[in-house]
Amino acid sequence: MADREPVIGIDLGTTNSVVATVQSNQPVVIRNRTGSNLTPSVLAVSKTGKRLVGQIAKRQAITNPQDTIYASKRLIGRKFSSQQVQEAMKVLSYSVVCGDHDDIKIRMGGKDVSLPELAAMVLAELKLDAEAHFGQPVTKAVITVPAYFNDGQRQATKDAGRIAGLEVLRIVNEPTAAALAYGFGKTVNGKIAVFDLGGGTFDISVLEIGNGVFDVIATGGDTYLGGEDFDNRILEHLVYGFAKEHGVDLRKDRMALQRLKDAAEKAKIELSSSKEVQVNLPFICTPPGGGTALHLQKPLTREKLEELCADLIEKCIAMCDQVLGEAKVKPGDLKEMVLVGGMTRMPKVVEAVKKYFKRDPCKGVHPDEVVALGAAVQAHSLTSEESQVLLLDVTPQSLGVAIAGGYVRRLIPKNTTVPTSTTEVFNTSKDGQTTVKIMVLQGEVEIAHQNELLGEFILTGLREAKRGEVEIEVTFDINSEGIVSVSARDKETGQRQSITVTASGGLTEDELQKIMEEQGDYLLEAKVSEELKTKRGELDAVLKEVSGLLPQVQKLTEGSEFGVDAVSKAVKSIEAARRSLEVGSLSTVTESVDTLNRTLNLFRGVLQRIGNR
Amino acid sequence: MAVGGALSSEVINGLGARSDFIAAVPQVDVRRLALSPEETLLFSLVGRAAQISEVIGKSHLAEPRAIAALLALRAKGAIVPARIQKGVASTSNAALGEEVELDEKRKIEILDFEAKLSTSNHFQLLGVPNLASPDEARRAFHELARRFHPDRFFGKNLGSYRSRIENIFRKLTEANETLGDIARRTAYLGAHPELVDIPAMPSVDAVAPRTRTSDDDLRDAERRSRLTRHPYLARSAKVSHLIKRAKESLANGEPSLAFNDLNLAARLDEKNAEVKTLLIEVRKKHDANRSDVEFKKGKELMEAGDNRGALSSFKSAASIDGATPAAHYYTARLAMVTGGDLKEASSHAQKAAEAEPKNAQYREVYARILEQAGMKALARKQFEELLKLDPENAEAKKQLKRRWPF
Repeated sequence: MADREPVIGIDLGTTNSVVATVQSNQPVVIRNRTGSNLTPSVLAVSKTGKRLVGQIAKRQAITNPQDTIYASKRLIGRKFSSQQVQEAMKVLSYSVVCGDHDDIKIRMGGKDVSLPELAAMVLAELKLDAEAHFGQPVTKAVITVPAYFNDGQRQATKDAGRIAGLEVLRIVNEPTAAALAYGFGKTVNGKIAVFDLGGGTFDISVLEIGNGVFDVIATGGDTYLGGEDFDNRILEHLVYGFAKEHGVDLRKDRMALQRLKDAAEKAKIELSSSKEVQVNLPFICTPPGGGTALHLQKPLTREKLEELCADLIEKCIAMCDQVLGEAKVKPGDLKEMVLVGGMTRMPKVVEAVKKYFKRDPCKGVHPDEVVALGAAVQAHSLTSEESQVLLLDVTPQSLGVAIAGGYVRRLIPKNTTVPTSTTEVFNTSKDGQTTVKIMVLQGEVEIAHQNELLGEFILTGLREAKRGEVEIEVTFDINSEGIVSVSARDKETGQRQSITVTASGGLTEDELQKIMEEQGDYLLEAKVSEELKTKRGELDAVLKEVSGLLPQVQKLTEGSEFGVDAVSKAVKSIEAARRSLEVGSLSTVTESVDTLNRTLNLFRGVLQRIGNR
Repeated sequence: MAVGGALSSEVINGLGARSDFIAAVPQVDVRRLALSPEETLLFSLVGRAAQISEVIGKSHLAEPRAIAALLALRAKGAIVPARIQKGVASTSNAALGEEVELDEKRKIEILDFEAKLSTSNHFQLLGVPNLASPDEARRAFHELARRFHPDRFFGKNLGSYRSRIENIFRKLTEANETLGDIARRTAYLGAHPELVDIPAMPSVDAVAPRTRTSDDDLRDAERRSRLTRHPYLARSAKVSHLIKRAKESLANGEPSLAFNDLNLAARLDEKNAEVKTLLIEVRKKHDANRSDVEFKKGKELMEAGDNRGALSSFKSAASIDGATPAAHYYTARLAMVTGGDLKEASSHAQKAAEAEPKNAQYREVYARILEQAGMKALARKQFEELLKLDPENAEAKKQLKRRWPF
């Protein structure tokens, strides 16, 4: 095709994912092959060992709770031993196991799968949707992540893209993407805030827009605060009530847990439009001592939900206050307030936001789709010359090194525009010290070990001298791709050591390579089967036509010298075609289509000639 | 006259061709020239030296006005035509020939800007007048970002230009962020006193009477004024002025103003003993004052029902050295009720409880925060302590009894 290769933007969400592109200068959502805009970020391995992605996986969740994986984004890039993961495991219906480097693996269909692999399955599905839409391969994408994701989580997402066979042009922050979509094609000049409360994460960003430049002033959030937490509050409320009444902990039964989770989400969504719902889960479990099954029937009012979740909403507003403070803007200075994420449909959230920002939120954007649209805008602006959009994004968290006494010295403060770099001179801290260890940290806490350790390296061969005499120059660099690299130099000898920070606690390069090879087979398979489907359709059609003509031809050629072996040959190839339609591989099906086409031509010729006689 | 290929060859009378260079007269005393705002702007755009067409273009003035202002500057002796071998030419010839996905014009634009990096201050770099406001600086930064952000060249083979562009953008970011942040801006201006309009030294005024306009007098004046602009003298003049003002503010009961001035002074002259002693004295007053003010504000807000606002006030009050236990206590309590950071809350609560170990109220908040933060064992210990202080405390009793139903 003469067109440039298509590029896509993907919102890889906690509960739903969306893929979009820019077509004739307008960002549009690409529908998936089931015809809907949202693809649930749910994966499953069915009882027959088939891998399911999206709506089909979600639909069978209740009957297959153990092998249905949802909300895995909440775990990506985290350590197994972290508090959030340990907490999450209590209410997850699938098993989370510990990998080799305190990373997380998920048991799915009897295999331990890493989180980037899981994310890659969703990405691969979206890639196929996009390819179906364009009718040609798609390899370039921009993927969004919550603004407050740390370097490890970003790297893990990038890895997922690579596994899915995508070249990730850029990882973009979700609220920033939302702002891009909001401001695209409009002349907006001024400061806006984006409040993004999604399925698993919360972000708040303040941007200044002017002449197509989208400049992020400050951003903040919580990567563990979202719709899932609201669901869990309802779930716990139901479990608690049930325990009081019947003395049974429903969380111990995986199927009950999955049904409860489902019901909690539905109740939450319904309560956005109605004042009260009935949670109705008949035959939820059998009592431990035997006897008749127990039912869970409980009304839930909007007030109760708001009470259960009041602190979550307050946490969001407190975060807004903090970020606005960092951006040095008052709510009144803002031109617009954009709400993003499904959770912003909850009336109480809207009310709290309105009260704090003292204005009605912008209604012009679709909370579920705007992030993907923004990602598409960014993908387009990076790859096309004529684009007038420029994004100036920031580092969400501070970067620094550990210094003597267990503290952090920050080299790049948070909310610094990237790309950026900075250099600072350090001294040795002990007499006669000949090596120094540079530990690269990300986070806002003064105490070193409470921050995220991105990586570490050692600079050796320093001159033996009194403490403080040897000077070491440390340089931090964040390039426009958002990748952090750090180097240290002995000022005296000029000796240098450096690292490019890669995902810690996630996959090693070797593991990634291995997965890509395995996944490569799968991808090839997926594409072939698409092709196979169309070929089968072709074969089916031609088969019908040939079998329809066969009796006529048999009758006409009966007794004539033309006949016997040609007709019997045709009958044989029809039989072969029937078989290959049932079980054939792509090559045999293609072969059958060709043979039958030849037979069909022959039949037509015969009919015409004899008919003309 | 040499004329650049792509540029207009039009000659401006009294200045030269548009492609020619003009330079600022070294050591000229701008203050005495009584420049108009337009002239000041153009003068700052000239920097050390620049191409005429470039200066006119960047001024965003209508061309005749820009030319008139330049001619006025020339007449006042602030600028002169300069024969400059383009500074970048020698090093950049090789770069210009480099085979990359950039056209000639872009290459020149990048090389020219790169050459400016080492000689320009933050204002010149962004192309704004000295002491331009943070907003102006930011707008100029946006315009320049559109030209030099690495994303503008995404996916292109740039060779040596990649690092050039990244370097330019880094410097632009630094300039924008420095000028946009009050603390960093103050520090930067402190380190570059020549950018700040300093109060004139008395000696300059003493020279001013020009009874005789002999060459000697003029030369004397010029020499003196040059001395006052010497970084060292300019600095000491500024420091003594700041000390004086700080003392006045202190006498007027405004330690915050004094504190700001002294901080600036300390940055200008690190070794000044007077500044140091004053600073220690003022810092204490300033801190106590600030802590007190914030604490009062916090209480007011709390009574008005604005817990979040109150929390941030209490937090600031508690973050200052020598804050009272009460400040820590209120910070902790409000952080707890508004769902703030429990780790931080617990450290405040701990400070309060340790400062006044017999205060049951403080102890209770500390215990409850620990409980909420999931540190059950510690919480339990604190509740037990609390029960010793206040045997009737309902919360402690409840907490020590509470059991999860399964």
